[in-house]
Amino acid sequence: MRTVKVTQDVPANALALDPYDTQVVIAGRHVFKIFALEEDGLVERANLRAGKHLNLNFSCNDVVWNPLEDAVLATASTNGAVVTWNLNKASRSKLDCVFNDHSRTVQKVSFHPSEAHLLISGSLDGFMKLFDLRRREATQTYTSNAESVRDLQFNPHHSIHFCAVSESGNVQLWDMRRPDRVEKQFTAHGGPIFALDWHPEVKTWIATAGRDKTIKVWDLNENPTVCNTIQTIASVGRVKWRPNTRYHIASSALLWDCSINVWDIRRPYIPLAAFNEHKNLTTGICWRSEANRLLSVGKDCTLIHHAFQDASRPMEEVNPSALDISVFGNISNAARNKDESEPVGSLAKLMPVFRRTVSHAEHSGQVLSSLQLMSPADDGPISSHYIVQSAHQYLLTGRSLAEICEHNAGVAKQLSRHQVALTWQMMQMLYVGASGGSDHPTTTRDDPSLPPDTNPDTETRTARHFSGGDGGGDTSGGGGFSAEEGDTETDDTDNHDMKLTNIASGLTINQDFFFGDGEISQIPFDYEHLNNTDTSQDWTLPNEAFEPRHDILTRSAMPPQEFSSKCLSGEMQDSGGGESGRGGGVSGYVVEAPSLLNVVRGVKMPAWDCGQLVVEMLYHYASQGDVQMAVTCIIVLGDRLKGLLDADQVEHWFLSYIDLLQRFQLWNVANQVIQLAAGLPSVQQLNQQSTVVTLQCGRCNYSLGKNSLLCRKCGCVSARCALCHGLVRGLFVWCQGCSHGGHLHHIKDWMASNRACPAGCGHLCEYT
Amino acid sequence: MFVAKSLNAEHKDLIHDVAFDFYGRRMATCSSDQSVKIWDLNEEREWVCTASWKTHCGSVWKVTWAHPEFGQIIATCSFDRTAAIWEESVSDSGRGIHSTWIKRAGLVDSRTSVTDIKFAPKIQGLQLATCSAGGVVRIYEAPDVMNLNQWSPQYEINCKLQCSCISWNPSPSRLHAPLIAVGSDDPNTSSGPKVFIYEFSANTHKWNRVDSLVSISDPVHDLAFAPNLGRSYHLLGIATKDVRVVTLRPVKQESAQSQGNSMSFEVRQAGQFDDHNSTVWRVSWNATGTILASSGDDGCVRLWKANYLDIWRCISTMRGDTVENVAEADSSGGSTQQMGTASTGQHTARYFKLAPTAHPAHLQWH
Repeated sequence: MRTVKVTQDVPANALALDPYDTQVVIAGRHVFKIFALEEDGLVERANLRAGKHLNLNFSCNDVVWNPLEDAVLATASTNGAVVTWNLNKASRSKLDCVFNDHSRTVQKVSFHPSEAHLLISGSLDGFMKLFDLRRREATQTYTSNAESVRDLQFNPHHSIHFCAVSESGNVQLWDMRRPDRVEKQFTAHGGPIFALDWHPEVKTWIATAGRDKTIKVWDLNENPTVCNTIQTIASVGRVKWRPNTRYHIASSALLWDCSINVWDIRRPYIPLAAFNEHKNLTTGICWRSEANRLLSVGKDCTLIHHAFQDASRPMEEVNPSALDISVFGNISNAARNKDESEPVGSLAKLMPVFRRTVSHAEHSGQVLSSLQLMSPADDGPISSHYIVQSAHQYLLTGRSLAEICEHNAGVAKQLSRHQVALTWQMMQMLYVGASGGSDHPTTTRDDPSLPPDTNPDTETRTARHFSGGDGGGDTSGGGGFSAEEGDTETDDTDNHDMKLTNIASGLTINQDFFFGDGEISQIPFDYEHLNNTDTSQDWTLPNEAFEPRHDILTRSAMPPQEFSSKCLSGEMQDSGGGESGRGGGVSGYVVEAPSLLNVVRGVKMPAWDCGQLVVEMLYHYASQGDVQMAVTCIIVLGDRLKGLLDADQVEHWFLSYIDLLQRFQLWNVANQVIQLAAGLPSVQQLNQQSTVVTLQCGRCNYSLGKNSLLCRKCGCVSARCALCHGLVRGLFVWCQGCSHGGHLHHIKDWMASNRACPAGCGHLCEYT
Repeated sequence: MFVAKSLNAEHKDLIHDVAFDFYGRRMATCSSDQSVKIWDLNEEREWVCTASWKTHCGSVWKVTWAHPEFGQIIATCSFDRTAAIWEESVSDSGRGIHSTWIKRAGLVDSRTSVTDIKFAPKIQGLQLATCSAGGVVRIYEAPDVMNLNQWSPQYEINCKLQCSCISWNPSPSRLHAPLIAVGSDDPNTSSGPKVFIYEFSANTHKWNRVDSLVSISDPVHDLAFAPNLGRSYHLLGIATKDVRVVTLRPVKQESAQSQGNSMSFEVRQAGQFDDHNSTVWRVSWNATGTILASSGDDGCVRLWKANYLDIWRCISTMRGDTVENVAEADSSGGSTQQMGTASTGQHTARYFKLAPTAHPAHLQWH
């Protein structure tokens, strides 16, 4: 019989099977019916809620079927009555006997497993009564110290004992012959216990469950001990051991959770199976004698016959695997231990029948995961070693463009990132000129293997030219730059001319505005001089415009005549193989031989914009996940790319790169990048967010205003060293507790041998 | 390529999730045993469990770290239908530093198992998205980042199908509106697509479903947006019965009044791999969004990467305690083989096996 459902008008509170496993009775406040368990479904057999005088005796909290006489039923009523029913009665009403011995609602009734005339009841009034159906009276009364009894049950193995659980969390074991005293009593739960079930096979086990959302399995030896605890997600209202299995128990919740869960007590965290058919809370559950069938009633007014094979299997559906990659490329993986899922030998041996009928997974006990961490080698494709190293070593500013490019190319080469190294070298060539790239002798040589492509139409479409030849970025030209700088400052028009000539030659801006080694400026870009670079319409200037250039650049490494007559063009493969196509397979990047660069002599200066090409290159790197390259290039090239990039896109790159640097805890580099994020106010603001420093006058504790070290209250200068009393310029260290401080080295020396504040205020400053 | 090391996690049941923090120096594991453990990298570069506590009344499905800017915060979600936010509180008791994790908030709106929880990208503030087996995606926000006790439900999206996983698009770009991908593990393949893309519209303050990946009708167990460090499109790794890599390329709509606020996506499947030969359970991206890792029922972890032609392929397989590196046989040609062979030629196959003890000295090279 598969899962079958019968819907009533009103909800039932309890159900019970007859001793032959052929009929089921459901009982509730307004329902009391018997159904036959037919092969093709549930068929209503009798409605016991019949007769003229329906009173509270008919509203049932619990129902049991006599295990020996299949015509006798007992119900527990909400009004405190215990009612017995005899189905063999000829009259329409099957009501047999009413015991009004309890003063409050009777929660549970239980028949003696071997003596058909004995019935016991437990009530909220704190008493348990033993009824003799032959004498039709209550023969014994057991008192549970005024604790409301929620459930009680005869010991099926040793039936002179019964067990009761109460709202106070206590479990009581009674000998039914000794109503004067409880045999054993212990506290099992932190709150009310709602359910109890004796294990059908293991004689000393009982399961209890309560409001603390746990099901506990107790071994009732001399000292009752907890064997297992199952933590469920809601208060448990019913528990029932699954017959013929040692470790399975079904539970239903009193609140919140509508499903019936079947647990394997050896794996107390995930239900073995869950029946989710009920749409509202389940009020009663009952296993049929065959272990794969379960009957249940719920507040959704249904009686459901569940087949085990229709249950969902949370245990098998759960995700058995965990995986994550750290920023350093460490892979953490947790997977189910395969060998743990072998069937438990003893159980399989004990119950050979069971082994055949129940699937393999139901035997599993504890299932564990093994956690494994895989650290990548530094040269692995997933390793982030190169990002960290590059971030550390790349030069962003402070030198000439040529030097930066060369240095960065070296860094990339050292990390075996040949494509990146080559890109740096090309940028050096593009923007500075071949003279800067002293390590490229091949750039000035014709490559005979490649036909010189001189058609300007195809050039613009497919070929890529790398022009150079100017010595503006001479690596040793620190002095030269200063001179040039001075020149540009003095003569604006001349400077403008110069720019145009540069642009005309394909060198958008070839002079470097960084000062030489001698003076590393805090402001690396002098944008005042670059604001006239937007000259994209002036591409076709005459070659004569080159002439003044060479007068200025006396230290040019190239002979002027050579420069003026020659265009260095490196030809690469078509766009597919060009900048955008070289993605690098896994770890090995495409090594582009410098010999591909082809010098075409005697070509008129082609009017092409290498900026567009560089932008394309940046997009390529970014899409390859190498945002470091994109951002570094933008910073290094500065305004040379002005107007060519989408500001939002650049912001995206910067934010991503800064985020990445922060993930590697490369704060200094990240801050440098933030500082150098020219033209991106949203990025530059990052440094100013959440960095409020309030200063306090060391003398009068008056808080100082913005950008001022002069105390407005006492009129003193606060930035004085507490030790030498001199004014501190540069690094000022002070105690946050007493506002005293001074020169870093003074304070350091002082705190090495003293604990108190050097100002003598008595504060025990901490210097860390 | 990899040095594998086993950690004795001492979880009493299956580990369902492991998460590294932002800096890769802390790790959280969660398990069906209802507990979460925090692991820290010590000076000897070993992972040490520094905290372990019971977090829920049911299996803890996922654990996730918030951006450290908000503090040391993790969020967990569980079978017990709740999600919780935990904050570390470090106290120096004189005998070493003790860290305890304090429950700051419980999110109890779900009526079904909460199957995934993810913090939004930092740029969107302290937001959390949860999804549940009941098919509801809930987005919470802590209006005051200093007060973690207060999380207000902001949005509720009904996906109709039971949800198994959720992922925020991590792109920090203003060009991309906030995106969420939701996967469903509904076992019924006829119930339609199993991956939904939701986009937040700043105009209407609503999350709208902008796409469903029609190519995926099998149950989805995990999905992850790749970190977007500057790509113009989004990459989504999906774990279903196989590994999928899907690109979502925003297509600006022509209509002027939409002003790019409602994007549609050009969805392309960049890869589909059944190498695991079994259910794939998890996918995870590396920090730059270039390598996808997947783990499946076969017990293997595989790494996937696009080559220069944007063809995704397996670059490494790690099985239990064996790691092998797949050679990159450059078979499928393109127009630029000249370049490709130059790189792949020198990159020969390297296999190596790791001893179970995983001691570096035991490494064998084949």
